[in-house]
Amino acid sequence: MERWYFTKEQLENSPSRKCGINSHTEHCLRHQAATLIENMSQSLQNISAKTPNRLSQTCVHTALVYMHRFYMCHSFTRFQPNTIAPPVLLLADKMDFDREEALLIEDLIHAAEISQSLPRITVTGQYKGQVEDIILHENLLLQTLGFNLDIEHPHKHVLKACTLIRVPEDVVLSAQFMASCSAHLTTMCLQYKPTLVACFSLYLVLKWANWEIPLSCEGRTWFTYIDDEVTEDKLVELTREFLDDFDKLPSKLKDKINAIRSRKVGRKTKLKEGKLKRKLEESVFPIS
Amino acid sequence: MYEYATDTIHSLNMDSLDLGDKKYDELCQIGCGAYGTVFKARDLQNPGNYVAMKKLRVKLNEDGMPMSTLREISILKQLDSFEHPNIVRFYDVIHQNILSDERHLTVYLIFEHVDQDLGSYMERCPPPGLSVTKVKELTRQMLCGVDFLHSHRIIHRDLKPQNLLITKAGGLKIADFGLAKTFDYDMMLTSVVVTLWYRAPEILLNLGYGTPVDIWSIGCVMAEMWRLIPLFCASTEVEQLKCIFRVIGTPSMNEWPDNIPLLWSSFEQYSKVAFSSIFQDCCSKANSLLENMLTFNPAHRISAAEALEHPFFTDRENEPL
Repeated sequence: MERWYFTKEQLENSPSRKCGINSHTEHCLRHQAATLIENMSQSLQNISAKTPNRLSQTCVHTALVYMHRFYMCHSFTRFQPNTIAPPVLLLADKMDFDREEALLIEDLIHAAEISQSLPRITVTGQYKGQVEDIILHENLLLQTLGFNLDIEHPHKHVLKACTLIRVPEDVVLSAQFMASCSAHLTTMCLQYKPTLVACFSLYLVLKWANWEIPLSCEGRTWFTYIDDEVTEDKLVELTREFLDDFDKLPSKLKDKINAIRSRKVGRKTKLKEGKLKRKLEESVFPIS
Repeated sequence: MYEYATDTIHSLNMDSLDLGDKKYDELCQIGCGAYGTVFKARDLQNPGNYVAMKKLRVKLNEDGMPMSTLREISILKQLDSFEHPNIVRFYDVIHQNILSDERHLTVYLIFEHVDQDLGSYMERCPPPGLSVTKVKELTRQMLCGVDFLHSHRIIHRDLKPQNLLITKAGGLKIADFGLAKTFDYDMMLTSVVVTLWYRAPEILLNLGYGTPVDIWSIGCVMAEMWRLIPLFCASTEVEQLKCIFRVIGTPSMNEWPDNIPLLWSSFEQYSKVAFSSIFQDCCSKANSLLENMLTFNPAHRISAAEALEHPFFTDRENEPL
């Protein structure tokens, strides 16, 4: 798995860079690919077909990680986001163990058309070509990713951290959302372990909500319970990187993130007092 | 569309990570079965090392790579990360480009190569056969490996001496698991004879099956290690069942499963033979373990974890034979 983590220098020497695409453009293209993947998963829900096409958030996240990894081996000049998004979703869906039946390529093509506002293909030959194209690129993906298809997501670690420090529901949701955003807006999944990304996601939401989490009764910070290599400095660094990337991108996600930033999630009144007290008694973390 | 696709294939050989360089040098075929052809190959990156290359032809369906194959290979990878001592190592997957035959894909699974399997080990074993200590040790290792697989929700389904490998250090490693779904459809096309000797009654009766089928097979293999001849050998399902009933006794009418085409009345009534008369040189604890493993009703069969706690393994003192 070490093979899929890269240093800043390696990220700067990506295949796209070697083909003359600058750092900012690559960043935008990655985001464009991510947005297409997300939009396709949304469109899939609206296409009526015999199999339910609701892709889980984890499936979309898996697809995003595949996409980021793929472009560490291949250049955007050779493979456009719209070529890679369908096979990436196809593969991610097949690896979603909660799904019993795989997505139909037919629906995938339809979703791609909707997401890019393209007219529906009606010519049989063209349609067949599209199917073949998706299958071929699925193969290319498999060869590139080398069957390292099992992706660990930050979300489960976010949940673990939230359970540990007993934060209200909306903090949990916001932190999960930030974890998803990390794959949409940044290349964190190519640089940091899911545990670190999870700690960052919750850290940022807590920071924005002005929530101080005191040291545990063992005198430890909360994030060391998720990954003992995580330090406050590292989290500050990731926050800076995230905000940097965030500022550079025009994205629909911005509004939602800004809402989290300003809404001050996690007002403690959300929990009934008795419940809160009981929960805190069970916790290793004292009442703040 | 097609031109672009061909271009993609060409680009692969240059861009992809390990396909350009040859990593393994095929030496000879070491096996062929329902699970594809197996070759012994030299590991070019680790001189002096050998690997077993399992060549699979995967049928592509209209939705590309079959979901079951993807998942099964991924599970094999996950399992390997535990490096369980009784499970054969899984090193790599090599995946060939789609060439002229676009409906099939060749995938090579690279496993650790072990020279000897339990079958040949038993053949080579000089009289008077395996020592009690050896049988106990190998059975324990089989159970450890199977317990590990079961705890990861994997049923082997086809345990037999040929896929239990014996390393030079005397360790036992289980091979050939986890690809049941991948091969289901290809298997129907091949006429490879699959041995029935280690099959549990519920498989022979075509009932649903679960983890207990592996325990049955371990029971058969353990018995074979004592006697150096297979316990139940027949070439059809019904004959195999008769063979089994001659030893464990025909189950009573109450025990016979409902809704199966094979009628209880079609079997002769055999009564149970005392295990101690079949395994005369076996200690009573070994016989008791065998009986618990070779139980007709899978729900009453001992589990791998329970079997490891059986007095046969836990009692320290050496019982006289």
